Amino acid sequence: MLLRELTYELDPRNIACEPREVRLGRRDLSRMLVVDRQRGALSDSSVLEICKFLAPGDVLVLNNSKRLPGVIKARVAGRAKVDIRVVGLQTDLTCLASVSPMHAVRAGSALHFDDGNIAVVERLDVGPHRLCLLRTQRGLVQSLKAVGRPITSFFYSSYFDIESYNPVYAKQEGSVESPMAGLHFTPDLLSEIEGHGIQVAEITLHVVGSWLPPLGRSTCDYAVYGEAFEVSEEAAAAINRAKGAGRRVIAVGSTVVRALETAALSWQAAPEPLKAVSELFITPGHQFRVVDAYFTNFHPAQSGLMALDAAFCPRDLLMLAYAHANRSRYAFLEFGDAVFYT
Amino acid sequence: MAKSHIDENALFERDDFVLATLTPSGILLHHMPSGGYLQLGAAGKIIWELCDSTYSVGEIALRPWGTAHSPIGISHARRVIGLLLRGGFIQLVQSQDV
Repeated sequence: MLLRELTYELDPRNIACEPREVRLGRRDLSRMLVVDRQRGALSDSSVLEICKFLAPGDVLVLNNSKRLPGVIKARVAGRAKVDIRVVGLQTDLTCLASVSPMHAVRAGSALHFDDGNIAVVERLDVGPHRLCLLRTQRGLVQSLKAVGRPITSFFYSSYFDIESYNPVYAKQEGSVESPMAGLHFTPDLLSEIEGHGIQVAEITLHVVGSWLPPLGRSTCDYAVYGEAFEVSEEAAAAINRAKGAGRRVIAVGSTVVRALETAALSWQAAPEPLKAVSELFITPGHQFRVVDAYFTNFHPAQSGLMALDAAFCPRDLLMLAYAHANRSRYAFLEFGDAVFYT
Repeated sequence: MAKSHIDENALFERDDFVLATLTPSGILLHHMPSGGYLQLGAAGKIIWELCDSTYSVGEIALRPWGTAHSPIGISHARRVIGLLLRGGFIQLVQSQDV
């Protein structure tokens, strides 16, 4: 599929530039566009009304990966200033990162952080995005927490506290980007959902490099970086129960879709606990094996996330939904309103 | 600061609160504290990147750019640095006469 087929019109006023708790006062007050794939119908609703679209026995699957700051300022040999944007943590001492600008950076360069830690450039030109492999002298996570900043969308109005980017249930540190669809949920809303007899299960997938741009004009031109994930015994059992009862598996966010659909490729009969790495890039034509409904945000045009959306929802209906949302002044992107593909 | 007063020996550094995104022709900058945006072409992108506290304005002016690899030139370097400075995108770190 050509990326230009995943383009839509967006009024800049519809870009959400602040977290919902700042913009709306609470995280769960967003609007929600419900896209009924079977009927090809759209309906305007709100996140607080999500229970109307769920049934007892359904399982809502959340990604509990916790986001760390991903941007750190450094100086090459203590002088030239560079920005390090972490793409993915490999160990507590190594990461893949985009370093910018690169004119002062060589293999072996020492990048000095403000907290005294030093990262050495072990390799240059890693992968198609020409990333750097960095090795720090001391714990990288500690430095990111001490002097890092969150990876921030170009259109945000400010840097926000890292907790503004983490869902209330986030607990497994390891991402430098977050599963942003989960930001809509508050403890009250999750209690209400469970009170309706809906199972809530958690998996973990640490997000890697979803902000990296495509390398060409087609969905085939995306570079996929492996993402570590884990489906726990409890989550596998909940999915098994829902499937066994003919109920739905509802993914909250694209990361849950990727984790579950990757896991399903290795499941024999029933869902099983699994710890693995996902390199699955979901594009139109993908046969969904586990996920029956998908709750997410409005994604950037021509992105890998849009390609996944177009795999889950027929493209014509998807484009109709985006056009309706733009006309109806829904808030777009990570801090925006929700869309629920049923 | 008027652009004519930008010293050739001055060193500048990118502000910590600027987001940058590449465009087909150069780079787009967003200075978060002020909400200001600035779009630069290919030569401007090079100037922006070289504001790392190690290249003087005079050295930046000598850097080649474009297909002809001609130098950026002192007047263009001063003009772009003036724009960056007024928008808060860079800060002066050292100068002889500024």
